[in-house]
Amino acid sequence: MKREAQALLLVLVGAFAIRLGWTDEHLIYVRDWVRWPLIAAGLVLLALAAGLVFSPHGDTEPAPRTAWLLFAPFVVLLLVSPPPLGADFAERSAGTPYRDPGRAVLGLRPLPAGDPVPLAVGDFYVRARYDAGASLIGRRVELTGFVSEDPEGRWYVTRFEIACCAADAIAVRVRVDGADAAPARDTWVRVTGTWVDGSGVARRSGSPAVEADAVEEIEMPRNPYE
Amino acid sequence: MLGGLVLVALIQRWLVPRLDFPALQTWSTIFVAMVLQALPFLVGGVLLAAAISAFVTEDRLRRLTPRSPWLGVPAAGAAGIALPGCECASVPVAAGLVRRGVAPAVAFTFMLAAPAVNPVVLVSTAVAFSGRTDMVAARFAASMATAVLVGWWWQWRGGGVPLLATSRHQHATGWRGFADSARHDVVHAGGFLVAGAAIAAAVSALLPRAVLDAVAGSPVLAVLALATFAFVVAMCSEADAFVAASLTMFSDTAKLVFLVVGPAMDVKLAAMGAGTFGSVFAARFVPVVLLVAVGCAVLTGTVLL
Repeated sequence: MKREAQALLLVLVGAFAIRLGWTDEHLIYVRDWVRWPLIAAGLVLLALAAGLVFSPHGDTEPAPRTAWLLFAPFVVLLLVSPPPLGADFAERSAGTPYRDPGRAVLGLRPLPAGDPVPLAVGDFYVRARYDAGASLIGRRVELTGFVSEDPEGRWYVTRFEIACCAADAIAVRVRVDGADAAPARDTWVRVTGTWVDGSGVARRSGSPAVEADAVEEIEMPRNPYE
Repeated sequence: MLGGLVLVALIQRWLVPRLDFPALQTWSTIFVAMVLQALPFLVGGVLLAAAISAFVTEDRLRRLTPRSPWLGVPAAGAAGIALPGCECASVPVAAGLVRRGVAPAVAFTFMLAAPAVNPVVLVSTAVAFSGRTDMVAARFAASMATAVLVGWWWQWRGGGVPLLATSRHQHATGWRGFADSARHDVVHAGGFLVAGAAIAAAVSALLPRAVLDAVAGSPVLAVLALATFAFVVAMCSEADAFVAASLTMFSDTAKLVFLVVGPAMDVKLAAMGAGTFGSVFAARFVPVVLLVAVGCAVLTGTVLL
């Protein structure tokens, strides 16, 4: 790879990194805090490119052909415009248990005040599973996630939880009972309802469930992951 | 160049609506995510390596490291505790150290230890395993043992292996050398990082977890399966404990194997190692690290878990 191509590569990768960090687009891939390291890395790459273009001497050694591969993620970004992880991946990884052996030993706080209480899907799952639903009894909750289904035709309000980036995403889902018809897969919904007594408590009994009063279709939240 | 841009625009118009396979989209999301997550760490590691190359004299570095590489290896392992780094950063830093005359065995021990035993990784392991200190202790012990044993092995046996990084002579010093070195490392390691991420994302997106769970019952197969899984999914060491904790079908020892192999060696690191130090190096280093890591993890797991 020649000098000009190297400079172009550094500019392109740097500009993409800054753009993704600057807009909310990075939230499809990484956690929010990564935006600042991304912008910083982009600035460094632009500075390196500038050094290459404006430096007086030209004895730079050529880069190996593999360097062209650095263009690949950005070509993919342009061609596919990857969506946030959705129903397809959630349904295929549905067998993976979420958060076991759980946060139970760290203690669960009582549910905050409010009716309905907005609750993360993962939080709802953990309260049902490791607290035997004790903190959920008699409370109306509001869960936000996208729609996924199972082969038996039931549907779930679903969310991915990520620790670093989308590569370590773990799906967590809560079955929705009592709603009329399932919205289309991957639709974002806000489900208001109450915990179905006993659901999701035992290890083998499957997902916890919510008896829905209302299902409202919404726009995708700013951060698609929990 | 202009032709290329026109081509991209055309492709975007015509091809994109036809690329609507769910599996391809999942792969692309995970692939881009891995590259974006790694990029700041790669750039950070490259800058640190460039600073070592350009501003730290060989004399000063020699005074900082023990004279004998045999002692330097455990010292480098201990240094890994204090310097939280990600896998992607530690490869260029090791290359920077080797270029500045540090014994390769010492640099490699640091490269293996830094992403595995730093406080950030240990805390995230404790959180993922709900405060189980035995898992944290076992991870620390097995990863440290792996790093030190591989370092000693390299000191004993690795002398004859040519290393690409050492053959590159420094053209300039000061800021000029700093920029040259940083750019050199970005374009060398970056392409390989991308190749590793593409493979790892394909495994994450396409491999059904049921395939893994099928072998969880057999102790030997379970260890081999999770060692392979750790190698091919190439997860960040700060995040892998959360995935390990979700592998509930597997024994604790098998989970430990996953946690010890992943930060030491995976498809992304093997590719970056080949790009930075040469393929001759990778062909010898990668299998040994895998063997030692699995061995240390199984032994530690048997004793501690």
